[in-house]
This record gives sequence, structure tokens and C-alpha cells, in this order.
Amino acid sequence: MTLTIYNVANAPNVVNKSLANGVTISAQPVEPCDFLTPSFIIDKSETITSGNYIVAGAPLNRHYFITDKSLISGNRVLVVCAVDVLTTYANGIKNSIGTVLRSESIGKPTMIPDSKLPVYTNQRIVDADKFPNTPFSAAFNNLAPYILTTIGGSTT
Amino acid sequence: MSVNQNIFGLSSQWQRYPYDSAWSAVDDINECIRVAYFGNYEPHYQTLAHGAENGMIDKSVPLDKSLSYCGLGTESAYSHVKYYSNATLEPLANGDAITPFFTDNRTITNFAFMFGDIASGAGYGNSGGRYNTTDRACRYYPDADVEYDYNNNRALIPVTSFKFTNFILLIRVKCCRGLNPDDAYYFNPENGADFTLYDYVNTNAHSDYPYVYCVYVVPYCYSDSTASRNPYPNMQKGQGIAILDSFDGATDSNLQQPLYSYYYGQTSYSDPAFKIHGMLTGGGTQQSLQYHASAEKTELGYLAICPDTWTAFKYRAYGSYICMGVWREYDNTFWDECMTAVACFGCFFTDKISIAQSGDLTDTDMYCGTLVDGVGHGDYTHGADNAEQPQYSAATNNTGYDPNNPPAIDPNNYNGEMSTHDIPLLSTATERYNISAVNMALGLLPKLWDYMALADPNESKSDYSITHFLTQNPIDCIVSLQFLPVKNMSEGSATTVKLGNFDTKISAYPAKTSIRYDCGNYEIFPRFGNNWIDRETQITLYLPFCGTVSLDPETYMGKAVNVEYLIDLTTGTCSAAVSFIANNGKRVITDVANGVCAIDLPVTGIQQQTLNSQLFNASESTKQLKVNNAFKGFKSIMGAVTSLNGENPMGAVSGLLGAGQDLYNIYASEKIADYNLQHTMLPLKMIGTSGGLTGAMCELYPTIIFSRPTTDYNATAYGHSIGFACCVTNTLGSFSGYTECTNVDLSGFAATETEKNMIQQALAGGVYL
Repeated sequence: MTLTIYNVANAPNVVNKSLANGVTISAQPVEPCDFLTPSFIIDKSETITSGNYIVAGAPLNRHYFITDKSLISGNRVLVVCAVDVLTTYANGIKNSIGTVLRSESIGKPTMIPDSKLPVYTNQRIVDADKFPNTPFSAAFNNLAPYILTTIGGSTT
Repeated sequence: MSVNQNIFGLSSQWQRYPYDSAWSAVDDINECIRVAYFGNYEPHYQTLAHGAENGMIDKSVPLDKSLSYCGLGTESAYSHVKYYSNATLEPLANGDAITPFFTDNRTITNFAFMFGDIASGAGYGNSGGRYNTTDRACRYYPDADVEYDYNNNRALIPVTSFKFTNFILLIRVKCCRGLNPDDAYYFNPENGADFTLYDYVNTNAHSDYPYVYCVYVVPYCYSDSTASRNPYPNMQKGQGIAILDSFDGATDSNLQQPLYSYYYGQTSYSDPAFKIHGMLTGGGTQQSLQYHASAEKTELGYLAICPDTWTAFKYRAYGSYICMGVWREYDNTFWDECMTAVACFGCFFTDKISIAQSGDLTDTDMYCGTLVDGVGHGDYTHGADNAEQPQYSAATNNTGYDPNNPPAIDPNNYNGEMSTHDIPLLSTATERYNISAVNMALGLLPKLWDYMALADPNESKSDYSITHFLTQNPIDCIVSLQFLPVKNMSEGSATTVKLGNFDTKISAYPAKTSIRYDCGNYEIFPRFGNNWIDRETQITLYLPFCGTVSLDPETYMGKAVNVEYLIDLTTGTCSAAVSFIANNGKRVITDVANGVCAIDLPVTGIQQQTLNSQLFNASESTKQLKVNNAFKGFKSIMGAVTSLNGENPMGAVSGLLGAGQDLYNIYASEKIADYNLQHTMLPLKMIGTSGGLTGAMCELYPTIIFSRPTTDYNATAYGHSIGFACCVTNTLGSFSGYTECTNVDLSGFAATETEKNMIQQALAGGVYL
């Protein structure tokens, strides 16, 4: 089986991991071989001691995290792996339709209330602004502020 | 939605209609009007292979809705088909109006244009009788008890495809001179005429033939892109518009069930046409419907497509016939009515024949019905704006509209607009004056009270007062004195204050009864980018004299708020109407706060009658002395009022009351010990009550107060770390960076169930795409 060993810096939850400078070797999985968590016995080398990620060829055809490494007899290393479903099925995932609840690419708060966003409703800033006009005035000197209602009649 | 080819045949087999040499030469088959293919195609008089009966449309089921390339909105009369009962019609006299038995009320109506060769057969009478199975008649039966085989209109073939840009509807009008049954110009086509809508409206035609009984459209198409358009097909064939939805009337227990079919609206023997407004259903003549079999006269019903501006009436009954028609009289709303009705079909259309024949699609007299979510609501563009419509570049009439899943339509128009208005000046027995403190200068009002002193000492003071002040007590001629810190309360020309019949010569202006004052608009801008944080803003509107109101940020954010004051100057009550402009441009008043912006200034004086009684035993000369002194007291009071010039109104109140005390002191100082008044309180009377007007000392401008939350985050870092909350359904590839998502459809690729569960779990917990 062909294995390509990488040293990946990406976080585990990155879908498209940056794979560069891989070293391809041949190895046999430890039987029985679980497709999700296979183990391999590999001759010790700088590549395998420093690597943390494996892309397995057929028949596994999957990407794996190296979760554990043990030195065993014969200057060999027992490498325990766990499938990286995100990168293995990256294209399928990206072509799938789903409902996104949080997104970095949205770029800004939306109309959906976000309880995690540091917004302090108990620390408020108060501003006030006046409307342009009012029917009232305190300039009584310039006003005619009285309304006198009388009983009307003919002038004498 | 594409036409259901399982029912109407493969699109590759749809037939050009009619099959003639001109159209067979057109290379692009999509340029043609095409009809369903049921097999056994023959160019003319074809038989239809589909359905329960070979060669006919299945009469037991409605036509499949997939034929509808758009929906007709509630603005179309096809959404409001009117049902009339023949039994109701028969006993009426010729010309009598008849009201519908039932009216449909669909928000969307799916439809199809229909053609038919067989329907061009001999005559348009109801030759098939009630059990007609081959004619174009479609009937409904307004009685649930008798079963009729009424869905028999199978002679028309559905139009499955046409090209918007080669299907120009010309609006035409059928009209007549009069409606009087005894008149030679009685409603009938022999005395009628046929015009294009443009000619009918813009010539004397609408004066000569003011009664319209049919509005219809003729499709104009070209068979050669270099040739002018012509009515298509140019033949004597049947035509109509099918309604593909079950009738609303099917839910009426008084109607036979089920009730569905399509309609056939005859308009002319010469040109194909689709009736927009008029009588539908087969039988009858161009302007009416008729049934001649005796049973049909009483048992069958009529259908009409027309707005409420039209009137249904009994056309005539002669021999074995009974006929019904609809009409409307021309007025200046007619053109709009026709244009709106045709626009609902979403096609290019015009009212001018020259435009139909050779007009460019962007000609100013070429119109295009606009579709909203695939539904025509009667709106349209014209001229160059037509090029902005999708129909302009569409290859066919397939708009993507799905008649089986139409958009939610709210039939309400939401044209309501709220407003305030003035009220007419009340005619009362009182006079109201707007007086400035300056004009009511010290020394003017006291003249009034001096006038009382001029009375003949031998004359009854009550009589004197009634003569000059119209009241037994002079003070009673003052109804009220109010202080209002309101601008511009006067109207009209300057006058003088009159107390009863006495002209004080004090300058004043008549006072308005009410004031409407627009305080202007204030636009509420979203501070945080118009997102949920802005909705956490608390908005309070302070309204002078009316308190405060809270404004819902979800309603007002991003909108201009308006405050208008409505002030009743007769009582001093005021209302502040808070409004905004809704999305449809209409003003909506959302809050009305009430308050009082006036204070009654109490005016005190002597109760003359009581005083007269108390002074009954006194000599007239001494009495007069006291009365005159009493009015000196009044003079003091009014002096207090007039001295308000520029002072605090609250001080004015205390000043007036103090003047009352002065009045008492004056009397107390009189040397009138010979009268038994030492223990008699002077009978003072107060006009009005003392009120408070501290509101006048507060802010007098409407003021909007914002209380906003504070934030503390870096958008870039926050977004990368945890993402912004949202709820968007799309392919995940359209997102990038940190993403949390749920309910992802992972059926598009092969992975084990365990792996897909792992993927779902990872996506729900957050990944970087």
C-alpha cells in the first residue's frame, strides 16, 4: 500500500489541508485493518518520526491523522491513524447544501442575534437629538400667548 | 415550470398552429405558437389521442396546470369569475340587471391560451345541447341536485409554447350605441362597432359607441422576421382562455361538484382572439350567451369575466332563446382598466394597430406586462424599459413560474395612508381672541371696568350690566382666559376685544380653533450597520406636553420619523402624532400621545347679584360707592393680567389671585360702617380653575433619545474565531473560513454512514472551509 507522509500545520477542522513536501513510502497495514482507524508498521525514518498526516492509496484512499506512534522492534514504528473525513471528502462537502449557522465569510453581524458577540446591553450610551421644528416657544415676549374667550355681542 | 410532456406530448412534437405554408417556412420553431401533441396529428381538424376517450382531452379531469407560464393576480377579472343563474335571468325583462350567483376570489389564477379547429364548425350556437361532447361549450350548473355532463369543452387545444417577442397582443374593443331595448340602437352587434383601444379612446368612437360589451386581444406575430406582424393564425377558428384552477364555486354546496373546465370566449368569426372582459362559455353570439333548449333556460348558468365597473343584464328573450350580456359605459378609467387587465398576462401588448403590425419592442407605445414572482398584477413597462424585462430576451414563454407551487400572494393592496386634517371653524356664541401681552397693555382693560363706574347711580347695576355685557354680572362675559405657549395662534385681521356689547378697543386677533404643526422628520440611522445590534437600541421620543413614547427599533430603524402636533386651541389639549413612511411610500401613524398645553388663568370678580342683595339696605349713593370700588378691584385684577408681559405665566396666576385679595382689601378699607357688612364676606366669583403648566418650563422641541448598547470586538478576529451568526442555506462551497452548519445533505458523494456522521458532527462543531 502506498502512503504519503506529510507534516501538516493546519488545524484538524480545516477542510482543505495544505499538503506539501510529502514523502511516499510503501507500507502494510496491521491486520485487521479498520478503514477509519488503521495502523501501519513503518521502518523508522526522519519522515515518519516527524510526520503527522498520511494520505493512503488504494484500497483505503483516505486521508488520515497520525494519532499515535510507537517504536517497536526492528527499528520500526507502529503508526496509529484516524481518518480525516473533512479533507478526504472535501469536494463532496463543498458541493453539499446545508444551513450555515455561523460563518466567517458573512463578515459582519447579521439580523440573527448572536449571544456570543460581546455586545453589552447593560452598558449603554445615551444620545439625544431634537426635531427641526416645534409649535411651542418659550419666547413669551414675542408671542401672543393668551386666548381670551368672551360672550360676543354687537358693539355699543 | 416546463409544460408536462407526459400529458401534452414531447416538446419536439408540439405542432405549429395552424399548419400552413408561411409558418412551416420558419426555421426557428420556437418563434411559432405551438400546441400540444396528442398523437395522430393532422394539420386540421385533428383528433386528440390523449385522455379517456381516444382523440379528446380527458373530460373528467382538469387540464394540467403546467400550461400556465405565469399566474394572473387578483387584479385580473379571471380571478373573479362571476356566475349567473339562468333561472334568475329568465323572468327578468329585457335590459334588467342581474347580480351574480357567485363570484370567484382567487389570489392567483393559472390559465392557458387555447385554439381549436373543430370549433370553427358551423355556427356558434349551442348546437350540442346540454350533453354536447364535441363542441366548445363549457357550462356550469347552479344546482347540486342534478348531475350534468358539463365539462365538455374538448375541442380546443392548449397552447404549450410561444415566444414573447413574437406574440404581441393588440387590445380591441367591441361596443354599441345604446342599451334601450326599444331603440334601434339597442345593444347588439349589428348596430355596434369594433375598434382598437387606441382608436376607441382617442377618436369620437367612444362618443358614438359609448357602451362596451367586450374587450379582447388579438395576437400579432410575424412569420418572417422581415415582414410585418399579422393576426395569427389568420383563420376562422375557435379560441379562448382556459382557467386551470378549480373554481372557487366548487366549494359552494349549491353548485354541482366538481366544477372545473376551461372557457371558450368567442369574439369574432374572422380573427383569433382571446376575450379579456365579457361573457365567456360557448353558445350564444359574440355579445351574449344564449340557451335555447327549454331545460337549459332554467337549469344552466352563465359565466362572465369582467370587473365590477361592468353591469350584467338580460339581453333578450325571444322564441326559445334567452340571452345574457355584460356591458360598461365608457369613461376616462376605461383605458387604464384595459391596460391593467391585459398586463396581467405578462406579454408584450399595445393599443395601436400600427405598433402591433410593425412597432419595435421598445417603441413608446409598446407595453410589457411585468411579472412579480411569475405573477402578473397589472403593472407594465413601456418604451425602452421593455428591454429590461426578462420577456425581452426570453427564448419562449417558459418563465420558470411553477403553477403547482405559486408564490404566496397577499391580496391586500396596502394602499392605506394615514393622515391628519384640519377641522372647520366652529360657530359658537363666543368670541375668541389671541392677545399679546404687549397689546393688552396696562390701562386698557381697566377701561372696561371704568365703564361700569359710568353707570347712572339710580340704574340697577344688573340691568346696566345686562345691557352692556349681556350678563347680570360683568365678569360672566369672560368665558375663559388661557395661556398657551404656542406660536401663531391668530388668524385673520386685527380686531378689538369685545365683552358682550362693549368694545374694549383692546387690539387683538381672532384666535384659531386648532393648529396642525409639522415638526419635521428625523431619520433614524442604524449605528451598527443595520444588524441585530441596532435592534437592541432603545429609542424614546420626548414630546412636549405629551410625555414620552417608545419607538420600536425593528419598525423605525432606517426610517424617517415624523412628529405632527394637533393642538385644540379651544381647550388646550394637544396630540402628537408619530408616523413614518412605510416601504410602500405611504405614511403610517404608529403612536398618538395626548396632553394639555394650556393653563386656565382664573379671573376673579364680584358676584353682582349677591352683592346687590347684601347691599339692599344701603343708601344708593353709598352702594354706588361700593360698586365703583368693586370695579376698581376688577381693574386691579385685569392689571395683573396685562402686566404679564414677558413674565412667567405661573407668576401670572398668583398675581391674579393676589388681585382678588386686593379687591377684598379695598372693600375692607371703605368707611361704610353704617352698613351691616362688617361680617359679610364679599361674594367673589372665579372664572376657570387654577392649573399647572410646568410642561412649558421643560424642553419645547420634540426630542429623540437613543440608548445604544456598547460593543467590544474585532470583526476580523471574531469572524475567524467563531464566525458571525447567520441562517443561510446554500452550497457550503459558497462560504469560506470558519463555518458552522447543520442539516447538510451529504448524499452527493460516497462515504460510509459512520464517516458521514463524523462529517455532520464536524460541520456542526465548526470547520474552516
